[in-house]
Amino acid sequence: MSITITGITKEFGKTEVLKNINLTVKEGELLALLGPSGSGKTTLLRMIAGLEHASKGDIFFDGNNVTNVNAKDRNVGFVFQHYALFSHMKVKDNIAYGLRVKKKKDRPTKPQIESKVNELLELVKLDGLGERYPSQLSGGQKQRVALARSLAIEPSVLLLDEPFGALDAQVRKELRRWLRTLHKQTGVTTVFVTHDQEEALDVADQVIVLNGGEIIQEGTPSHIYDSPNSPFMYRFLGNANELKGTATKEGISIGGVTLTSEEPHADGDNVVSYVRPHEISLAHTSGNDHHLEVEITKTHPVGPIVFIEAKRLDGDREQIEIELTKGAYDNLSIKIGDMMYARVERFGTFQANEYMI
Amino acid sequence: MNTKTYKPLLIFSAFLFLTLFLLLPLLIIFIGAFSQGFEVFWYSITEPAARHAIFLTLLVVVVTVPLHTLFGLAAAWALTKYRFRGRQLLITLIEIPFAVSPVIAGLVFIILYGVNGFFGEWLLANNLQIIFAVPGIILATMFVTLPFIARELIPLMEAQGSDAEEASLTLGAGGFRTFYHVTLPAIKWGFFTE
Repeated sequence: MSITITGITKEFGKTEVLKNINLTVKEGELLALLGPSGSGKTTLLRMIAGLEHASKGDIFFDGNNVTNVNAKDRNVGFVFQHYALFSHMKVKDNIAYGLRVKKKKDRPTKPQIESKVNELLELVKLDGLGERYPSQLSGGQKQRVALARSLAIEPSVLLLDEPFGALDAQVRKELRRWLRTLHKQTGVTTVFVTHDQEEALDVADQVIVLNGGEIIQEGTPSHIYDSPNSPFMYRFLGNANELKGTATKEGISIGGVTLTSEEPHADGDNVVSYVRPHEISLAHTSGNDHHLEVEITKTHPVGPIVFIEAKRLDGDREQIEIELTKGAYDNLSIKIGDMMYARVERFGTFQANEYMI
Repeated sequence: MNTKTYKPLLIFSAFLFLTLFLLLPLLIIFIGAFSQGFEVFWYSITEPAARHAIFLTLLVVVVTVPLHTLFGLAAAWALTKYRFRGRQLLITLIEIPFAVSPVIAGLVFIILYGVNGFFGEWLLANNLQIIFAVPGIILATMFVTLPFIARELIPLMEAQGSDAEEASLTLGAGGFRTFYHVTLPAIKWGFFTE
């Protein structure tokens, strides 16, 4: 089922937590709502579920306006960060709950419910744990029970609110890959909320980034990662070096070096270029390209990556961060105090006043 | 000290305290009651005055417990699952009987319903007696015990949050089913302590 949201605005008292949101989730898509805390992503998700009501705007499921439909009649699966399992019920009763509370005429028979529960236990790889109570399960298992419970009602959309937020790193990674596979198997239109950009880029087909109640950028994970559309996006997706400069006819001039850029910027504008640490390469000799001259001040190898801090030797004398692979680092035999040439492989440039906001 | 040494010590002191302040007084009462033999005890509790006292106590329990359960549950539900204007005020109001001395509470009831009280003339005119009668006993008991159920349930329900209720809702259960299948089982231990 597709979801269309038009002009959704939400006010809590005087604060606007969502400002005129428009978006579409296509049938069968796995969409991530990504944003820092307070960006309004959870509120938006809860609105799709009917657990929260919009101050303005409409929500459509397959073209039907569900804005005023009660949560219990929307047929959505909702998975909470802290599982929200019914702790006094066995795992199998948790999963069967949605089927048992159906109206008599829609309710499956007892054997039907039982076989459905077993089928779901198998799907979430918890066969044989139906007789346990939630307190006897690990966090990852609990979340899989919660997922099975929400899938029992064969929801038209599946909504997950920071589903892996309470789990530790290892389980989290396993579960999110597993969610991806599960989504392929079931094909249910799925929306999940996360503040972890890695998670969103790893799992989703489409990503929508929210900040301050507004959509900042949307697109496929690779589009989002390759072309962040604002300083916020660069900063939110991971650390990036901020290089102040001026726009010229040839490109962007930073500390006397000009980086060729196809982005249109008016001649003479103050701009800030964002460069990711791993999108800088280092060399001992100047090539034909434009390089920033730097002095290595710190190296910090962590597993396969070496984090390097270097000081620019041009006018600004700012510190920049560079990440090299262990192999590249070893080949260059970098030492602290070395003068080197830093070549910027990729960057994004924005008006300096955008940056000021 | 390791756990092995101080664990029995803690358990022992808890039992000592309970014995001194709870079990011993109870024991004394029973010893006193049976000191002149079972027959005297039986005679004493079956004489009309005693029977009336027992009946009155039971009546008060029968009236107040269901009422408190109903109101306490409603109040706790409203206070923990919803955010509304006046919520804080309601919490304070529920706490008042804890803060007010029972003597003052008694005085308040006399001022309100006594012969010279606020409603006194009207009550007299309508031939209704509250103070020094059964309604007075029930009213006073209700006042003193009002906070118990709500106070017991609020922290419990607060800690549980509304996630489970919301989960139930999205699974297609209405308000009543959610209350019966999810909220009530989760708080039943709170009720047992009442």
